[in-house]
Formats: sequence, structure tokens, C-alpha cells
Amino acid sequence: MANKPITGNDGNVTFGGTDILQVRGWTFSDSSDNKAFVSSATAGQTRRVKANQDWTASVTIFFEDGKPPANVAKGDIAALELETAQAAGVGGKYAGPGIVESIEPETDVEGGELIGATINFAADGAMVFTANP
Amino acid sequence: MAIVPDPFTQNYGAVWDALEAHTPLTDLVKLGNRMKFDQLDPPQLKDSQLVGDTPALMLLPSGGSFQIFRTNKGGSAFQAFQLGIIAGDKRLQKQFFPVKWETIRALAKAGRTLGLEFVINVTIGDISEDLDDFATSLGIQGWTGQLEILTELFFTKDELTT
Repeated sequence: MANKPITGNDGNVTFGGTDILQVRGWTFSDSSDNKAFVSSATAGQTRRVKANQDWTASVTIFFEDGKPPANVAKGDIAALELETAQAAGVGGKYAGPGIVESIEPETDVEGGELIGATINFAADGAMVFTANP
Repeated sequence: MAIVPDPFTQNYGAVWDALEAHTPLTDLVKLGNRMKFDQLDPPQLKDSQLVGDTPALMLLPSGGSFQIFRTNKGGSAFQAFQLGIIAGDKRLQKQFFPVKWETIRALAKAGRTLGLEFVINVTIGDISEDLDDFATSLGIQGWTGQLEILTELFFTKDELTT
């Protein structure tokens, strides 16, 4: 595969080993609660040290047949996989244990938009990216 | 999973079905004045119109778009139609507004799927109205209107790829 950017068209999300249906997209924020310090050794410059690690993720979906996904409920803890692509040799996935923080459905009667929701996940362990073989 | 006939043809026919299922509209517009382009013999526009040729309805596909990858499980299409209303009368209350009103009611009654599994939304977009323009070119005196009908279709990955 040539060294090129790819689109998100082939992305996917699984939770507990099952696809979340009608995924429109996902975002992932990987963060470190770095601690700032200044001491006699920093010559007046603020420096930081790596500290606790955390991540959050959000998945936007359409409700299939107007119903929330059966395999996701608030408080559920399971393996979360955020795939950039599903084809061999292209992309990969962030995988790790996550907890469902919230589900935020939205129904737009006036605009007639498709019914959907944002599902917010938070860390229950490390999230690691693995490239597709 | 093949969709036969193709979904665009079915969608076009379903819009007509929705309009013709509404008796107050078909009472106003005679069968011969409903110009359909999915029949064996497409309608022929006449050089000059007689009184009995109006009011008339003409449904034309007017473009749209297709998102092959809308979600991880399927894609969707947006298909627009222009429904031409040819009143054949300059008095708004005589033909034009009644046909316009019953057209809107017919679509509201049909619901958001038009009875097709792959149609997920139907709505009315822009409406234009004119006293001359299109009608004049056909030798008609009276009001004409263009009512935009917007439909949204969704197809599963299976329907798109197998």
C-alpha cells in the first residue's frame, strides 16, 4: 500500500465484540494529566512530567429503525474497538476496555433529520492502537 | 440483494402512488392530465392546450446525490423531484391553490416512507409560482407552480454490494 492518507469511509466501531450499528463517525481523545513544576533546577521555566493517563471517545450513530443499539447501555464495561479501516494492510484500530458514560439521543422533528445519538465512552484501561496486518 | 426494479424507478412510482391515493387531488386532476414518465408511452407535450387539458400535474426527477458510505452499515441517496402544477386558469382559487393544497395533503398522508422499505424521508422543499413562464411556452394562460419533493433513501451494505 502506498503511503497515502485514507478516508474514514471504511471505519467501524465494536463494543463487546459486536458492531455498533449505523456508525457515522467516532472521535478519540488520548490524554495525559501531566504535572507542571518549577524548581531551582528549571531556571524559571515551567516543565512537566508525565502522570496519569486517560482517554475518552465519542461515537455518533443513527438509530437503526429508530431504536437505540442493543449492545450499548450506560455503565456497560466492555472491549471497545475504534477502527480506522477494516481492510487488510490499511489502517488499524484503537482497542481497550471502555465504559459507557452516556448516550445522548437526538430527534429532530422540525428538520426531519435522521434520528441518532452520541455515545460517550471513558477509559477503564489502556487504549492501544494496532495496525491491520 | 438486488432491488428490482431499481429503487429510483420505484421511488418515482411511489410518489405518483401517493398523489393518486388522495381522492381530493384525483378529483381535481383527471387521469389523462397526470404526466408520468415511467409509462410505456411517455406523455407528449402538446403544442396547444385545450380547456380539458388542465389542471395538470407533471412529475420530473430533478437530481440529488448519493453517499455510498453514509454509515458503517450502508449508504443513502437524496432524490429530488419537481412536481409541475399547470392550473390553466388565472384565478388562483379556481385550480391552482386547490391543486397545490391537495398535493401537499396527499404527501402528508403518504407518510415518510411512501410505502417503500428503502425510503426513509419525504419532505417538500422550495415552491415556486408563476403566472407566465412555463405555461406561456405551452400556449397556456394561467398559473403554474413547481413544487420540490425531496426524498431520502437508505440502502444496506448488502443491498449496495451483493
